Amino acid sequence: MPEAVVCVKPIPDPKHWDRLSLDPKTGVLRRGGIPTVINPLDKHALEIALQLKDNFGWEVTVVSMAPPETTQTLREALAMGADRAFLASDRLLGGADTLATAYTLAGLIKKKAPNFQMILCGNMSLDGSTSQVAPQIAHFLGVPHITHVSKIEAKDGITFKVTMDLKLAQLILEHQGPVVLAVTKEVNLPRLVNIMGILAAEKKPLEVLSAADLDLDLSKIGQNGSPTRVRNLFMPEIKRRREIIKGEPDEVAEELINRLHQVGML
Amino acid sequence: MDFKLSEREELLRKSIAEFAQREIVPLVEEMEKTGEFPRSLIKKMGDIGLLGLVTSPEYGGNGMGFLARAIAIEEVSKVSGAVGLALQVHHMACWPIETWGTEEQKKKYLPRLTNGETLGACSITEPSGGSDVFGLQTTAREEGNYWIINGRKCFATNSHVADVIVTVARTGEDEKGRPAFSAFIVEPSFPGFSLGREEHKMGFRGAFTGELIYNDCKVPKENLLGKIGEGLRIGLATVNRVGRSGMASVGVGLCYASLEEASKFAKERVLYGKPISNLQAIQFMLADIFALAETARWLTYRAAWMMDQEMPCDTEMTLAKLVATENAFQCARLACDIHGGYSAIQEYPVQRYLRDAWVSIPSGGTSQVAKVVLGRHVIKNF
Ligand SMILES: Cc1cc2nc3c(=O)[nH]c(=O)nc-3n(C[C@H](O)[C@H](O)[C@H](O)COP(=O)(O)OP(=O)(O)OC[C@H]3O[C@@H](n4cnc5c(N)ncnc54)[C@H](O)[C@@H]3O)c2cc1C
Repeated sequence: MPEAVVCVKPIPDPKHWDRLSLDPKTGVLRRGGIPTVINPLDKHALEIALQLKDNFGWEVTVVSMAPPETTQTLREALAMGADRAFLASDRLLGGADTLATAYTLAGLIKKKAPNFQMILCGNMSLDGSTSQVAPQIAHFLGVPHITHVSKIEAKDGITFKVTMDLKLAQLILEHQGPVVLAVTKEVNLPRLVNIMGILAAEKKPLEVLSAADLDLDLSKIGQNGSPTRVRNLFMPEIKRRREIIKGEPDEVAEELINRLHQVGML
Repeated sequence: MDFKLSEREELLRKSIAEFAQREIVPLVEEMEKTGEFPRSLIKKMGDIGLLGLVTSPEYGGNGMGFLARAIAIEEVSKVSGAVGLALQVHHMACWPIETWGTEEQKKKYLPRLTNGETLGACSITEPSGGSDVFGLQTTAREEGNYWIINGRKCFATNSHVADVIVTVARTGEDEKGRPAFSAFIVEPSFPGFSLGREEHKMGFRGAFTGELIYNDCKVPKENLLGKIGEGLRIGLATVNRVGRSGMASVGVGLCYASLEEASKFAKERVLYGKPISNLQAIQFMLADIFALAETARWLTYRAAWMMDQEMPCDTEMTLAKLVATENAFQCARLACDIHGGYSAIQEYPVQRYLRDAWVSIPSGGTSQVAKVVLGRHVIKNF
């Protein structure tokens, strides 16, 4: 059966982002015990794979690179209906930028799902928002990619009509063969996890792999293998300003309009 | 002792919370207005697995058990106490059928009750007897291949949606001359059955509460549940173990709903130039709500866990029910206090929590009756 691979990223639950803060010295994100959830767009990606499973009997494999305590988020993907999950988890992988992440995920896919027909990703992760990983995975695996996917029609399970939504224009593409797709939230409404799924997920394979298990080039993984670094991370300060414009009503009105023009409000 | 919920239970909480947000929240306003249970929800509750929590897989359930049920009802009740009530009483029909039913009864009724085709009801209370079970007047007599039931039940949750009703009626006297009762499985399509009034309640609006009327109602002989004379045991065990733990979980859900709304409002409401959450008087109320909610939750989880371990737990169930429903009311009261005048306005859900919590107190047995049970326990054991 054809196999779909879904890349899933555990992120701090966006519902609790008001509890996030930055360490002013190190610039490291303080998570403050916020629960981890599947990056919301990744659930839309998983839904596509699960529909291919329901309609055409595909197999669905979930892959992720994350700390070991995030297995629960992968279990959730299994509970939604995926068949198996692989988690690359290793201290050596920590601090990876998008390129090192994509290299690692591509290595995991080569090792565990080399015959994939489709790799599905969210168009971006809500916590990183780079949108780089999916195209980079495609690069490492030598397959084409389509991003901003807002619609997929799986005609016969072989040829796919894919809509790429560029906001100003829509591109409709027809595709056959192995491909990486990065989807937007418009693509579908992900199914809910049901209780039978939770019970079934406990019996499904979930394997945690180390860097060594994946035959990776150690110079390309983790922080050391990352060509980019975050120089500074800061919360923009949004301050209210108050200014009192004095004068005759006509003058004040004119001055106000000028000022509003200056700051681009009019 | 291990207070950590398993990965399974955590995932269950998360998925039921998502279900509640997606499928129940949009219905609440209409339920408040009409007082009617949204029938479209039954199938969805079946699909997600809520209806089969205490039913074995061989009869279509998932058998996740009572702790899982406590978590699920809590999450549902956080967004709608009414749906929490309807769901918990539904389990009060499933459980006695699986526990005392014949193989034929289980095969006939349980799959329908778990797959989302219909809800169940468990109707014991009568105008002449809520707390006083020996005051029940409804009778059943054998006639040919039927039991003929006569009488009137009131306060039946799910009255106007349920297609499977577990009920109790007098079938004679025991050796001491006290009334003896038997339990039956009734379908609304049986001749002589009719629906009576539908109550208009101040709380749990959107869960049906109504009368069931048996007027020479012909119940096939094979629908006797358990043995003749076992009805009170079946009824009381169901109320104690399923009904009380279920109401406790509804209470816990309401406690946490109040906690979340109170905290949110306190952080948003600005007075004297600062959020009122900066005022210690408000923090004290939030601390009180938190303490009440946690107490309710852990007593409820303990009782449910004991049920899963097949330990005797009637006392713990009664304690959990008493504390959780009374605490739900206190939590809602405090949340309303924090809201000031806004607590009176329907856009703010705290007034609904207050109404639901109030109605939760007599449901499944009044607090006084719970204290009678607990008082007896204390005198005997301490
Ligand atoms: C929303 C809702 C849903 C319900 N759903 C169901 C259902 O699905 N199925 C069902 O069978 N029933 C149901 N009930 C009925 C519920 O179980 C009864 O209301 C409850 O048992 C109390 O009975 P009562 O209303 O007749 O009050 P009564 O028994 O008349 O009580 C009146 C007062 O006397 C007190 N009292 C009674 N006996 C004693 C005693 N021995 N010592 C001290 N005080 C005492 C009570 O605490 C109360 O203060 C529901 C009730 C409500 C409100």
